[in-house]
Amino acid sequence: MIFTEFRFLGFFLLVFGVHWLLRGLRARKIWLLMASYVFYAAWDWRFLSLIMGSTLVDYWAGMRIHDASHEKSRKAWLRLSLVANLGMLGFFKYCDFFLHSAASLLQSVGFDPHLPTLGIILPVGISFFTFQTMSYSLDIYYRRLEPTRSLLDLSLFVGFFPQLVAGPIVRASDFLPQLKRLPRFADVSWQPALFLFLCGFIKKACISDNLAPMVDGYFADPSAWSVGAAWIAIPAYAVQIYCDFSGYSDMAIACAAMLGYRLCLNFDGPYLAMDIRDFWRRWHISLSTWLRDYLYIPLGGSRGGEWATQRNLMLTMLLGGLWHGASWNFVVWGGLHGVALALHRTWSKKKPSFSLPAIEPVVSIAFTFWFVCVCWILFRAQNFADAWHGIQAFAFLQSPGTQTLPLSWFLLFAVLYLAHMLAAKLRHREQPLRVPNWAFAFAYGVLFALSFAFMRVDHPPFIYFQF
Amino acid sequence: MRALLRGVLGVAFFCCGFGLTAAWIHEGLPERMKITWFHRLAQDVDVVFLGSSHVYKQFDPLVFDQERGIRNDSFHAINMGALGMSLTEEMYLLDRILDEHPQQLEWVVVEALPFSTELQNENDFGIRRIEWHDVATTWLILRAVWQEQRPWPEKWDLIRRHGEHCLHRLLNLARGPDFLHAWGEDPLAAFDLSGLGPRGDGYLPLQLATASQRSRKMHKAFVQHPQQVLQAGSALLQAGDGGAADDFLRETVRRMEARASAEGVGLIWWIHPNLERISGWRQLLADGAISHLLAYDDPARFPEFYQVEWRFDRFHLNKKGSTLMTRAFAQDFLQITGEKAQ
Repeated sequence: MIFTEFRFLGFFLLVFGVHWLLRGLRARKIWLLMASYVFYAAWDWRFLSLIMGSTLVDYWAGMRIHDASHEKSRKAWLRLSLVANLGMLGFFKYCDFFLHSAASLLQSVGFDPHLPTLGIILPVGISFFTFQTMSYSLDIYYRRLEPTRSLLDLSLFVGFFPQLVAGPIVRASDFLPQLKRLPRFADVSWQPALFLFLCGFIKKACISDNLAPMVDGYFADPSAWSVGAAWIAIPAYAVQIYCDFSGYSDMAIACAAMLGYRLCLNFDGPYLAMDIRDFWRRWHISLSTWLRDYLYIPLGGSRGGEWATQRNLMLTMLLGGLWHGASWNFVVWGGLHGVALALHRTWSKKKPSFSLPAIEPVVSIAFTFWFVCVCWILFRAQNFADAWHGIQAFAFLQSPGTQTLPLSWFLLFAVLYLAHMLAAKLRHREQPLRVPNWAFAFAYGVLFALSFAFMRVDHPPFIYFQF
Repeated sequence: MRALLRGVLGVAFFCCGFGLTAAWIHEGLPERMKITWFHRLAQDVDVVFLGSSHVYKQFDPLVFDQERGIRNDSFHAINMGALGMSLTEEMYLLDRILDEHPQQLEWVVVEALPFSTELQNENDFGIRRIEWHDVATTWLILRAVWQEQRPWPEKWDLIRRHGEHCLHRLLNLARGPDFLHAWGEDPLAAFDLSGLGPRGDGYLPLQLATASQRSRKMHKAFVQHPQQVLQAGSALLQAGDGGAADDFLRETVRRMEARASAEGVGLIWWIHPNLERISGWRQLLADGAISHLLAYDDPARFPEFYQVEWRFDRFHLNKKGSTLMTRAFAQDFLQITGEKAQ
């Protein structure tokens, strides 16, 4: 069940209606938890046990960490939580990858190890909910959070359906306090919530899904396409993945808001970033802040001198890349971003004093976008050979291919870029845009009718579900 | 209370915005080839043939017009048949034809088909199938499915699929690109007009040289085993009138007759030389629910249609058979229209 399907609409209307009809806080939470488990079971009910198991382990470990009197036992309980969560993630997501990689390595040095791959199915959203449960235990360990004594609250924090399968990665310190009070219908900001849902729907169903066939065609064999085609298809992939993922996040945040809960912002105009550091402040914010708080800073952050900082940055980005998927492509993708962040850090310190105020922002944004696109090639390509063909065409303007794509795509990109800028401006307005309810409702109907007409009907899954 | 009222008003405005936009998009969508083509000819034709491949591949408007003694420099009769058409789709198409208020149109010849709620899987969500799932037609089918004697999983599957087709139509799902392409373009330019047949009158004869692979297969199977047709011919001689008409067949026919009558157009129902008798139609005639029924599933009157040399396959006549059938039909037609004149 994905957000752009009609059955989700039916599901959400039912959940929404019953949620607001129920009077008691506990009844609402039970209802939302049931709905969340049904939502997840629509993919594969067997993996519900993983969510429940992970919740139980962290519920128990969280209290033990808090109640333990000695640092040693606190650490032991934290280790238990991390081993359970990372063990689950490692088994389901990385087991086959490491077995395959080990076999390849051994083969390359002359052994024939016959290591079996287990063919493990990747449970949807496992990377997201394990990071949430880990952050809960870590926050308790760092004494940033009191453990909840309510298993129901923790279960709902882990399983809350809007963010369950593709984020945003919610922090317990943000979400658990919201479960203490009864949401009031009158407190919901309906216009922003509904508008955000529509924006997410348009991004996913009308933009991302419609770009997919062109992008898939290019990445099926990048060597067959011309340089011009690469300059269309690769930025198109950048648009596709942004619209796909941020579309999901928008709809998730909107659904939660309509139920009276607030989820954190996950994207903030990433393609307007002036440099790579700025990009990571705007792209998948909930992941980048998670990596910062639970990996980069515990590794030492920027406290141990320049080389240690660069090492921590690199390690964080490599693991961030690996988080996205069990493939060396993602590791290299993360590595490239790590190198870029390290170079940017060095450059920022030694940057010459001259500046060209008029064109500097444009050049900075364009260069950052170009670099991000180069990295996206590794993210999307099926193997390194294909990625290299794409990089040669896009970065070095060399391609043996002759197939072309119409230049009119650039016009579409220009329109989308303007919309991207406008959306970022609207998001940062001090006063949210207010229109009379009747006009909003009418315009909402018009826009929804248009978006249905321009959506793709086969509902391709969200790209980030695979992570 | 005020919040509830505000909510209701919001939903009402949303529905207005949605409905108006959806209707505007729907209005601008290109229609199927034969309807687009009919828009051009609507004020010139006097007879329209409507039905499945039995009509599309067998009714030759030229032969029909010649038999009526009309010059053939322009179309008087046209063939609006299409492969795999159902009775409910005929009802929808009849509405679309009559929406044009064609001044010259006097008769619509409609193939008498059984009322069916079935959907073939391979055509799911095709534009043509979505098009005829308007609310009225879908509601009729859903009621029929509900009352049918079939297992619940099958019923549910049919209800869901018909419902989804209707929803696709109401929401114009994924039709935006078609809507944009249709702007400022000759609507017929988007189609491969070979589907209108060699003379452009909508009739595409079944000939081995031009037949599809599927048709050739069916032809080959028929030539190798023609006994089924010959046996069916003998069996039909002893067959009854096909039994009673069910409620939904009656309702569909009543709607079609009423709509045609309101436009001053007569309906002539025609039964193809089938191998089995379709139930209900003879009773509808006897009851007076329909005025004209020309049943060609009658080997006593048309023994040729049940002989190998006049058939292309189990389900269709060949070109020679089609010409013979059209001629016979023209004679019957003249008799009916003569009766009408009296």
